[in-house]
Amino acid sequence: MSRVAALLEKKGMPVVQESFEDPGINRTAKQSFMREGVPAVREVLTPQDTTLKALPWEYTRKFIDALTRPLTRDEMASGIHEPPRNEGVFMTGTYDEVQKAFEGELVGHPSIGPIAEMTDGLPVTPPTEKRVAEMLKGTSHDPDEPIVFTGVWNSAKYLATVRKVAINAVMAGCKPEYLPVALAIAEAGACVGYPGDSSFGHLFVVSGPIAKEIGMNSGFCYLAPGNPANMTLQRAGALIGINLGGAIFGINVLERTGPLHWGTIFAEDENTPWEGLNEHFGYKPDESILLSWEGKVQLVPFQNIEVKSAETLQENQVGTPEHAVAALKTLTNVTGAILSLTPDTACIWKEQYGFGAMRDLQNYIYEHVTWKQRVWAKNYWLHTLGRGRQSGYYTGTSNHPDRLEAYAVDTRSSTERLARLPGDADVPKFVGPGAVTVIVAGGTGNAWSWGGGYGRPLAYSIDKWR
Amino acid sequence: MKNATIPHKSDEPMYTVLDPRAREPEIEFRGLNPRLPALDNKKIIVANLHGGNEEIMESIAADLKKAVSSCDVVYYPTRGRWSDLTPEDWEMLLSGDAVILGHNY
Repeated sequence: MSRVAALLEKKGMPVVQESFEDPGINRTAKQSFMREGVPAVREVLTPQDTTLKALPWEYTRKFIDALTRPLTRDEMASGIHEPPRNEGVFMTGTYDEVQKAFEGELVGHPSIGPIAEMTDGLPVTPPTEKRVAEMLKGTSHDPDEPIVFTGVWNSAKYLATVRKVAINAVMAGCKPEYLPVALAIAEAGACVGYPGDSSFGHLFVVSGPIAKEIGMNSGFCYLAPGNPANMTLQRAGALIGINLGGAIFGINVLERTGPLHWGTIFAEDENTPWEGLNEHFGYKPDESILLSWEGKVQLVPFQNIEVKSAETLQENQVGTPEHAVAALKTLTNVTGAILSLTPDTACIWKEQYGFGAMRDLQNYIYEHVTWKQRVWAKNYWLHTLGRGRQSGYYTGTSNHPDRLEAYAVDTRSSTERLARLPGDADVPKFVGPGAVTVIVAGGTGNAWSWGGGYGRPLAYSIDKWR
Repeated sequence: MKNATIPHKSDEPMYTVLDPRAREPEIEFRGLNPRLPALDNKKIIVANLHGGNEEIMESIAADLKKAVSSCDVVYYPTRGRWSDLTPEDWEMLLSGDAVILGHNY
């Protein structure tokens, strides 16, 4: 909304913006106004109470005042806004003093308490010049090479470099050999969240030889702590999001609960019975890539908590494609599926259910994960059906169109898709078979986890950052 | 003896650390547009960008009309949502003398 308000002012229209009275929302709005090239647009801050059907009379007076009170000198001013350059040495101090300086003023949002300014709240490895120089040995790229952030949710245009990514990688505890992955995470936009109520997160999967080279976990406990590469790269994604992507929890990341995944990263297992995800996304088998999901991404770990008998134990531990279909039908407001199978489960499904190619499983999921027309028609998230018409994650376009053809998405609007169908018609839940991503990972034995995201992930080369 | 096991602050190693933050580019900005001297006989668009509480924006328009009866208050729920507005939305938003923009969200 702040962007629209700023654009209207730039087109010559006096604007007053109605906004909730919330320090996070208000600070984010002020940042947005300046980024769009106007001083703070006048706002009338209203009670954060969505049960209200009308505002007290005093607010009408506030709107009239905001529309008619002459501008102040600051509101009339034009000029150049010069943000701090944030270059070179930050400070010199003891370990504790460094930690305190990176934590900053610990102001934050009243409802969530103090928020660290330059860390994720945990102590960091001090990024000395020597450590950063050592980290930079992990890439052949010039330390001053700019990194283009392509995150879709944060409109800020931050200027970062390979060196800045290396500094954050040091802070996260990464080893130099992890740096190409950290650089790919940065190129993917890192973890910046969402300035709204929804729980938008970030999930990354590495496919290709680098996973084994740097010792990433693709097996048992791939979603759990313990593996240095997985854990420090996840943290690097968070720190890069804070320091290079401008994410401030409670200020411009205002998710009411927060997401399930904030940079969770693991590797695809090389023992897949199908092509690797690197090949699937148009790369060669010996190329390493990062897959990045942004938005409402979730991956629900395998559970057997509903075991009540030997029969259900068998069902839950083995699982069948029908179980996956049932689980995926429960997803809301996502346009793509994520299905993670252990290598053993992938082999069983290939052999017993005839999914000779990954594409066969994608087609099966797309065709069977459906909702009835009458359910869609009254569902609040009906509009997700029409997302084939929108840009970015919702379309079949790829960030590497030279490598990967657009996947076939249903580009009709939600109305067009549903209008002529009877109430009991089965309507596919996902935008196309290509929006079903199958990951092979996990320990020996049968298990699978499931979830969804916005369409399919975007693929980024890791090798380009070696 | 206790002091012997806890290093004195002056014995602690010192770290000179680099700044981890990116910077934003310089931005050229221009001042806001002059406010209206009064709302009488002016056209005010109250635009609802569709957030969590649809009724509030409509009520703001109605209350404004009650407060300034000669003011032409137009309540306009946009066709687009949030920042994703249609050309018709922009045409309407630029058709008045001032805009109240909101979504009560």
